[in-house]
Amino acid sequence: MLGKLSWSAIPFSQPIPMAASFVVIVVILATLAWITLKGHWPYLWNEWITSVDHKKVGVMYCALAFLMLIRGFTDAIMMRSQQALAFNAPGYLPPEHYDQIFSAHGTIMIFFVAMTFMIGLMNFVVPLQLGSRDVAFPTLNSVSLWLNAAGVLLVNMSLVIGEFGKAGWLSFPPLSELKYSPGVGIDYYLWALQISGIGTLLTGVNFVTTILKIRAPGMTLTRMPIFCWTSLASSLLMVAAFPILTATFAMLLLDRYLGFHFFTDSAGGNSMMYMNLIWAWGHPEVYILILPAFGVFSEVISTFSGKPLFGYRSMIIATMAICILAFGVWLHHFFTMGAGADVNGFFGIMSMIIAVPTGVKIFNWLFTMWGGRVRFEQPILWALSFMITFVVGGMTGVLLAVPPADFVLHNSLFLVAHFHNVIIGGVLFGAFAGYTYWFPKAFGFKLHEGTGKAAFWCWTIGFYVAFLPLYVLGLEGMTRRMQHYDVAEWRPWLLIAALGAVIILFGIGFQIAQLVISIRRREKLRDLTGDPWDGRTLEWSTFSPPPHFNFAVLPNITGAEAYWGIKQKAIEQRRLTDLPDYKPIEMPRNSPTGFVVAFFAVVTGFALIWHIWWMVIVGLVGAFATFVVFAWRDRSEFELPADELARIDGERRKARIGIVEGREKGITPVKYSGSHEEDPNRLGARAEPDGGHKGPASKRIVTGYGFWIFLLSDFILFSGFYAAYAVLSHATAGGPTPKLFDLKILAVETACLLLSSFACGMATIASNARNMLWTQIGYLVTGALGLGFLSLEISEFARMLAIGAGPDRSAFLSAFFALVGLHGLHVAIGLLWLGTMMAQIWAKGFRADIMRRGLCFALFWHALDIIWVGIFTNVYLLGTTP
Amino acid sequence: MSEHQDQSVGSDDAAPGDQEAGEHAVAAGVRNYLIGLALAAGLTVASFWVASGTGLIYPPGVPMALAALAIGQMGVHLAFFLHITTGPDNTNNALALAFGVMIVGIVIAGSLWIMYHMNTNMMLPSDM
Repeated sequence: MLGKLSWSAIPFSQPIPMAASFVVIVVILATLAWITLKGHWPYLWNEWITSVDHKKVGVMYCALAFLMLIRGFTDAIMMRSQQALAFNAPGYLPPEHYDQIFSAHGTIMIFFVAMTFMIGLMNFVVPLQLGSRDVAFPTLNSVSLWLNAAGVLLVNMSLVIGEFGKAGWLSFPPLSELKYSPGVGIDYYLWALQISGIGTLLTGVNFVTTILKIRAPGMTLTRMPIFCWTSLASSLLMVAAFPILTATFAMLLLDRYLGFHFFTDSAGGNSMMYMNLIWAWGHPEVYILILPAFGVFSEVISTFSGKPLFGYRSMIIATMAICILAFGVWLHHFFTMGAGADVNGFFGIMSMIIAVPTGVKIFNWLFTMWGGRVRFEQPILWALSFMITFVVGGMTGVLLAVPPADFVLHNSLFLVAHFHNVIIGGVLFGAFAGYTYWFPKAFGFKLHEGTGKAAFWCWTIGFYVAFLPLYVLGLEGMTRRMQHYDVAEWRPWLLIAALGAVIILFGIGFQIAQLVISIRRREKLRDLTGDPWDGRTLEWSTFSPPPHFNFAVLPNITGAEAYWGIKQKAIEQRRLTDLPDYKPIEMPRNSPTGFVVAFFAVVTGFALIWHIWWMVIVGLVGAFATFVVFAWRDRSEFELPADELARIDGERRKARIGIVEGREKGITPVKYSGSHEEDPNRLGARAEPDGGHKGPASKRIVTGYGFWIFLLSDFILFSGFYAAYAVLSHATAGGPTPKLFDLKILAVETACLLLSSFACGMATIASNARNMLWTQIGYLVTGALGLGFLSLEISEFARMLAIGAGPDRSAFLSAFFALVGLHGLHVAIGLLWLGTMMAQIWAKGFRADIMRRGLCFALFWHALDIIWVGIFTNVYLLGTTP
Repeated sequence: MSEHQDQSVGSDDAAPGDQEAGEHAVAAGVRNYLIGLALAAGLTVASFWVASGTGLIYPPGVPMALAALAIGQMGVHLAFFLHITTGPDNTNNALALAFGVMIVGIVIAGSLWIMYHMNTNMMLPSDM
């Protein structure tokens, strides 16, 4: 009934996790009780949990990241204190607990602090900077947030129920295989990251579509703020890299749950393939984290230097170069695994090349400040500390990119020091710069300065004290993840490092104090104009906090630094722009879909971890039903009347008069040329003031494009499985043989799928012509042929299992079943989707939103053919040729 | 939700999968799918035929021929079923596809290259 779950799952015998979870549970219960007593539930539910407003979603992401920073830091300070104590002694953390702590620390800090924080900032800022009212898919955005939260919940549940993984933050096999990690720890890790990974992928799809398709009129690509560019690059990397992670984890899960042999040390499994695939995700992941931070620094440095960013175009080129090069360096994480000199040399050089665009950025920031009037507010302090710290980290990175040097330093504390140097000094400082920079925009008041600066100095000094000793320790030969040691020379450095962690603790303390003090003194810190920093980009042209629709009228952009141009023109003319013509706008309605789906995701994940199969079915059915209910709703938007917009925008204009008339302190008027013309000779210059960009694309284009991006990520998912197949198919005796595959059945299967695709095309034409009968007939034939394909495939699998050629026999068969089965799973999902859609068309007719889904379904169904072409030729036909 | 939002007149952009709507949209559309089906079926038959070992193709060249036929057929599907064109209204869609194909290529080719090296250098020569 309850699978592997029993009372023994709760670690009663271990005092530290017990006490920690007791405290956590008490705090959660107290918070819930307080919310209930104060009657805040309706507010929370209506304004936050079900909100699809990108700004609130962004704030919730950042709040989640802060909470997880505290959890991750608790792990960190436990490790530092353990190593300070454990010289010739066991310390206070037993090995199996220590192993969980360093695994959880890495997992939480990367996935739920660094990435969550960056996604939060992207959510809050990007639509505002683009002059849009929301992201491309607002409800999907809420789904992403809550799936991420579901991952957080599962990881933290492992503290109380069961255990967490003990195989490091990337759970390398064979240690993470069932044979060596029989507990639920690795399963917690895998399912939590699979669920939150889906959320991240959807975020990537959402933001690529938002940035490319729904910018305000005149916001051409080369007028976008750099933060939007870095967010685009980061989102592209999410779309491209996360499917590889999903594929890799899926393979490990198949190994653990169904006895497959992808990475086992028997039957031809190859754990080196796991390292290869996981780092093909893992290195782009580093750039997913750092690129948005680069964007934050670009905004902050330009704003507080009072100058446009130096080398805007080179910044774009550098960003996109990093986006592509990020996929060509992954082997440098395993130079020592034994590839030859060619491979190591190639990836070493690529790793050094990627430092070039990063260097370009550093110089651009320096030149931006040069000659500017730098105001040393909190955000730019973080940026300055970043530039120094990150250069040090980058240099040690280039050192590690030299394969012979890496042979000495691999897995030593030198490496640990290096990546903390770039992740704390780069990503985390970027997050804090963004937090202090955009906080007044999000909440309408600035953060308290004194405590903020104290936090800044504690973090910066604490970082150096905590991590510079690790470089020394690495050079002295200390490896990472040591629970105890007996080398006397290491001890003093470890004590200094522990002191550094304590200084960082003070930094976090000051940050919490800053938040409390700022909220208490919010009236004094209030930002009345919406432009507290003399900003240059569009988010500063609206209220602080912005109304949920962002802009009453979409701004009309005529040049780079959109808001700066508008502002300077207004200051020079001493008047605001003419009163616009307000038109009613439509905004998306709130939806509990994200929260409910995430609830079922947690149920499913928990049930899978503990092998409670009936609950898995409950969770999956619940999640599917939630989507059907969402798809079925009749009203997805509400209208804001024009007079309401005029009233709200009137208040904004009133607050702005001070800026225009020069009564507002801290706003710099510059000599403004009057016309905001662009250099006609520059690349991409267009004669018309809107630069040829007419504004947001139609919903059909937005939906279709978003789904297209999702499909590409699906292709990449398949490429992960295909790569595994290509590597493993000949790893064992008994690879593909003509006996195994029945080509006659294969021919019928292929015919089914081809004709089904054709029928789907006919249905699309009929639905475009609004012909109900032929649409339904077309879809019915599509479904019937799809079902025929699926049943043939199932019978083929059954036949193979019956003759003992199951996935547990060899790595080849594992890869075969996974690759072909994944395609079959797609067909099955497509059939479910098709059935729902047919019912919906029948009930509701050819409504625009249903037609858009029809377009997506057609893309999906035709794409399955493309994948099948790859499979039937490369797997079946190639496998049967003599 | 309103209908007008889905019809952008004079747009220089198209949704992937949408065919150009013309006067004879239905007839042209059906013809397009029929051509696609015929080409795809032809290429599929050719693949099966090549794989059956006809002797017409130099045997070590069979994998190459299969790969070429597969890539050709994928192109047919993209052009005739998914309506990805090289037209200016499809630039974004084609660029996204190119990015995806590049990543797929990097993942597969990179994995094969790296794992080939690993297998040669690290695996025990016996019992494999």
